[in-house]
Amino acid sequence: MSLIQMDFSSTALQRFTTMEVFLPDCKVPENGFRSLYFLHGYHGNHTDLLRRLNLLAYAEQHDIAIFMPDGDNAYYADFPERAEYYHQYIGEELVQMTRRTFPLSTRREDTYLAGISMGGGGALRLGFSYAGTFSKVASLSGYLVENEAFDPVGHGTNVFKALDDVLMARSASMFSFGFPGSSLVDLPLIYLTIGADDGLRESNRQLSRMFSMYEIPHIYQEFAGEHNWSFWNARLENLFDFLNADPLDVMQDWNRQRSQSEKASGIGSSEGGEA
Amino acid sequence: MAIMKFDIPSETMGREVTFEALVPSESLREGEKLKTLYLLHGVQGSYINWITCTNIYRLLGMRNANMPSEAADGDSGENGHQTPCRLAVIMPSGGNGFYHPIPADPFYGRQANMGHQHDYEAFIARELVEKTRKMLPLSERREDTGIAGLSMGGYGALYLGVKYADTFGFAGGLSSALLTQRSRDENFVEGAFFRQPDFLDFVFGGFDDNRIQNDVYTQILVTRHRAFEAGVPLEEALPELYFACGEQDPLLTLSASLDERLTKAKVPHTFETHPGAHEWAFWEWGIERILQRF
Repeated sequence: MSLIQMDFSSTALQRFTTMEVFLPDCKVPENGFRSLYFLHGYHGNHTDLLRRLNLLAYAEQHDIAIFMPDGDNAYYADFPERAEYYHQYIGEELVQMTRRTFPLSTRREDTYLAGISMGGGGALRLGFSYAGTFSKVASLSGYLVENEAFDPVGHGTNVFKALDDVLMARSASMFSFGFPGSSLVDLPLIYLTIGADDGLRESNRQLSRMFSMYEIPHIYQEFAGEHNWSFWNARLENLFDFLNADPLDVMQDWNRQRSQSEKASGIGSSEGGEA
Repeated sequence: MAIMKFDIPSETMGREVTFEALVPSESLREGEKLKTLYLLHGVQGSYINWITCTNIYRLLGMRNANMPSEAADGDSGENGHQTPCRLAVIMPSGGNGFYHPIPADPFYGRQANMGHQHDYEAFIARELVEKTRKMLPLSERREDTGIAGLSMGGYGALYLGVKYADTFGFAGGLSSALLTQRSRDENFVEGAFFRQPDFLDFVFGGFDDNRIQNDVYTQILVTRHRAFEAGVPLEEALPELYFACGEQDPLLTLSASLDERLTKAKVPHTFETHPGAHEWAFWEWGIERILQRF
């Protein structure tokens, strides 16, 4: 696996920015490498994921290019007053620039997005906005910014509000196309995982319930653990299982999860093994 | 323009190696291919030297800004690709090995067949070219691929450029350390470790026959002879040769002598001198010349 530290000028951020890249050494597949854009958490930076996660082993095993951009403490949101458009940077500029620079597949089915904590929330919102770019989105212990107090000036950091927007757009397209459940672009498949002792567990459960209510396919798993690196290292196995899974299998898991939660009625989510 | 630091596993070096690349990533067009200059450092240096000691980032940016990212209509190459105009620069590390295969691990002795070498030659001329072309949007055409360097790297660029003329269409040497048997024997070099006969013999693999083979002028003549025998036109057999040296540089006689011999032998080349010593101020001038030329 090659490690690349890349410094470059970003239009969306109006400054130089930096990222770390893992690029597989194997022969480039016919369509190019699969790519995973991986977002760090609050207080972190692009080197976090290198230093604190054993990502390299998984990247090597699965021959996936991994891009770890620097997202500051900005929730991967747009800040017009600062001329810093992180949402647009990740969802458009970064994807295009990396695809033109490296031998990557440009297919949606080969393009994934994941994040930890603040990066998990960011990955979900970006997945909603750029559903045509990413086929799978994973949130590890996502911080969903459900509290309005944290988003006083409406930067769109609240994942629930972002979901509302998707649902609004969906219902608008439902009227225009005249049949239920239709949307302009299907949402990416979603993976949510959270530690049983994580303070963010309730909000993640709530989000999973919302997804279920609106029949948005997703996998929700709780495991013993807290909001820390040992939890996220243990989740890499689950993350890459999800990324490598056939989308049809993920849909089957989702249907199984849904029927279980219907039986357990009232708890709109399964509580995955290992607890 | 992006500045990229690569750490990659290398088979020919038997270890992880680091190199830097300057690539106009932000403004790449769909399907755009870049010309590539492999740029070598001098003795006691590393991949970082050109970045830290010259304005190469700014100079390359200006050069590329003056180039269209696509060639004019009707100038498209094979496979419908446009002829590349803009340039990427790749800066590898070559240790103190004069870009030769040298034994890296003293415990394994000096035997060439031990397999524990730092094979700088195979690394730069083959593996690095192959891997950077795989990882980055680089043109694979010979005329879009150049090699250049300063001092030890000037020697390496001319030597490897000629020896691997199927890969490189341009070879540029600044203040090139064109060490010959005579320069070793005359001991014009003294003091520093890399000027010691023992070190030179270690790096170049001994006396006489090896040294003659490792000589740039000999390499050029042998290559020309082979091309003649094979009926290959000279411009296809040899890269475009450019070398320059500072007028106050003690190594000036080496480049001037190569110029003289190539002129006598009617081998096309360009030799320039410019005020300056064996120093970064001269290489700053030289790299700008090379970026414009290539």
